[in-house]
Amino acid sequence: MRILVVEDDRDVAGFVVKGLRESGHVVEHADNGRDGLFLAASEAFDAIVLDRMLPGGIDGLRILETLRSQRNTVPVLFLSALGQVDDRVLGLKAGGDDYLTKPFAFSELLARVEALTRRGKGDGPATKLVVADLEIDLLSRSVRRAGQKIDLQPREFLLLEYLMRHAGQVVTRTMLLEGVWDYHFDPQTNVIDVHVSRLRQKVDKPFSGPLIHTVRNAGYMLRSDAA
Amino acid sequence: MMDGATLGHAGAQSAPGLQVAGARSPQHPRFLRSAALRFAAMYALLFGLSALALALFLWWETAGLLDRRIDNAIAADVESLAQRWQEGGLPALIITIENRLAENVDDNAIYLLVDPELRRVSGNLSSWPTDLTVHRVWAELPIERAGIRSLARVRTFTLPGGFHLLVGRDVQVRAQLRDLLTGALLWALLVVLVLGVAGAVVIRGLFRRAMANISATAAAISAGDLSRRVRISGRGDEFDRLSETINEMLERISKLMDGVRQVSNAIAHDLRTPITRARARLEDAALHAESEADLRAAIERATTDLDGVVAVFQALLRIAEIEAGTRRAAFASFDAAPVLAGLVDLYSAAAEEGGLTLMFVCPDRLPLFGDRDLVQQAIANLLDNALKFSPEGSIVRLSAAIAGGTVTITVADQGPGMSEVDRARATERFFRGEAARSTPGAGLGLALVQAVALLHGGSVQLSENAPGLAAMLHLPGAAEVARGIVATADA
Amino acid sequence: MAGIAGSMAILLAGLAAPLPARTQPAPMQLLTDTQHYCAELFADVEATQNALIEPAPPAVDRLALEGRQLCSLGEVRGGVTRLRRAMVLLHERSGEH
Repeated sequence: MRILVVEDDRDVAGFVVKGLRESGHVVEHADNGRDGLFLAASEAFDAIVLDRMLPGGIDGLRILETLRSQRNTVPVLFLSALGQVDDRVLGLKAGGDDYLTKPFAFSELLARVEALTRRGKGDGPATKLVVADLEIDLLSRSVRRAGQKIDLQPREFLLLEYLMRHAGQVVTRTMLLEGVWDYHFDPQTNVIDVHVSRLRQKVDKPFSGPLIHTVRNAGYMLRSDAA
Repeated sequence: MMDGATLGHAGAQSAPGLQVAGARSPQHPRFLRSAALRFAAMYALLFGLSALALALFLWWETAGLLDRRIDNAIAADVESLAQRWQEGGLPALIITIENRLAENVDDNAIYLLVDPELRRVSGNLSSWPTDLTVHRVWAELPIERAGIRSLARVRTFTLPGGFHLLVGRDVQVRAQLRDLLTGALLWALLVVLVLGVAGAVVIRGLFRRAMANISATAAAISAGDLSRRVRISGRGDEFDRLSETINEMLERISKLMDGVRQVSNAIAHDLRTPITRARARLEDAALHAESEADLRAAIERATTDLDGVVAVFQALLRIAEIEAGTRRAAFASFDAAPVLAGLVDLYSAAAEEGGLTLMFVCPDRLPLFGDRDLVQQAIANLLDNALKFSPEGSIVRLSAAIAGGTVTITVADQGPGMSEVDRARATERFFRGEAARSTPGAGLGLALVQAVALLHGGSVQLSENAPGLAAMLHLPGAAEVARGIVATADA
Repeated sequence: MAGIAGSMAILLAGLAAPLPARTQPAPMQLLTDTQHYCAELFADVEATQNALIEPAPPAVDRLALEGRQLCSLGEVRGGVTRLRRAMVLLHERSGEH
């Protein structure tokens, strides 16, 4: 994917750009607002990682507002040292798609950027999600694997649905907390892990070929082992 | 770089900063700037105006009354003379005038009848007054009687036929009264001036005395003594209310500053530890690591330590943000029941893993007015704590109830609980109870719950669960809040 | 209202009155403050008294004499006043006004 990174801190930018390139993406970098806006407006990107505080007179919010006013719908992930909820809300209201506060773990950034691009591709409303021999029917709220019906609690269903919608991508614990439980802060105990392991008991254990994988230091990924 | 020493100076240093930052009003001359003087001057002015109004009223009632009477008498005289003319013509009028003069016991009447050429026909004036035109109706005429100057009030009247009549009265008495009154009023003016100034001085003194306590306290406070409070006189008047408000504000500032001091002390103690640990690990790894795997492991552990530090900072900032009260502006009505249900769902798995039973009792609807995310985080903190300290096989109970307009959410565990002494201090930042010293965590959970409670106008209560701890979050229900605020559309 | 305004005007004018008026003519004298009028009035009083049918009250005589005496002493206003009082009494008695 083509990703634009607009970040003025050299160390952070270097770190992010290198990491994204190593993950197989094509990355452009701008270290101030003016260049960033120019690049974003003149070339097509699959996602933009945008710092809020930028030198050069144009900050991240203004860049986003300008892009959106030009009907540019490229997915944007905000990076910011400003972590107050109001800042988050402001960023999302301006047209941002996701918001990550510094300091962040690179795996979190990667997972979220890739999730953005998947969203950007405009998946139409699907009634069925299928990965390998696992399929869920969103209308009837039923889950089958290898033809066998699996009984899931409502929340477990939502968890599996989220994983399947992001199949092949890293899903961090924070993303799960936000997406499945609508919870915006990190709890101290690893509550998510327990839920995922329970899901595994039902979805993976009785069958051959695990689908739910743990990604070290990042989160989880649902994918067929054949990959 | 905040430590205890610099914090002490920060108070004094900020004072000059405040003076520069706050816009000073333009330099008027000193006496204009005194509010007490303005009040006093206004008093003197009002006093003077009242005295003037009284004087004018007196004048109107005395000299003015006389004037009106005299004018009425003259007018009546003119009318009856005109009547005479109608009835009997010139001869009758002349006789009447002479009679009236002969009977004028009050010795104040003036008559003059002249022909169209202003030649005297009858009356006790020798000629028509030179500067009096025949068209003037009312006039004042200076006269002299027995060598004494006097004034006459006269009225002219043109009779059919071109003859002119002048009727008047000697208003010497009125003139004397006027002079008397004028003299008296001038003296009164002097008295008013003296009294006004004296009164103004008294008012200024009272005003300054009332303000003195407030300004003295304020001066002491800006010099750094935050424990000072304004004295309340007990009269319950406007000054007392002002003083009370100022004292409340000082309490709040004091608490906020205490909070800041607490935090900086806590940072000094409790944050340096993980930072030191991380640093030590890295330094150790740099010196003693034997393989790349060792280095990687050390780096990962250090990263985790740093993440822990960041989490503590985030929590501190959050608490500070909540305590500052700005989030109140974004309050909205919401139902807390699904929020609690979601949390139970989230934590149930972890509870089961730990061999605990998580019980949930809640009414169908819990209407609240506030910040949904904050309430969610507060309850999550309580659940976190409960799960952390509960032994295997025990019950953790999350329950909610509405009673008398207050919503109470309770998280009760059967763990080691807290002593009464500890319970009192539990909501301080970084406080760890005895039993908790060995468990991970920075001790900020309850501080955040407290901050959220206060922001919503509620409270946190910790009590003995026998065994264990029961933490209760009391929040005013939406209806209670709506009583004070205009209800929102979906309430 | 007009009375108050008038009174205020009078107050101000009155306060200004002590100032000497430059162009004002000499104050007028009353013809009834003269010896001539005093004598005239005395003659009138006598004539009216004589014209009466019934005798006049004794006060009339007294007042008339006092009046004439005061006038001759220079107190014209006082004398004229007494004569006027005598006249009033006479007119009352005779029914004229």
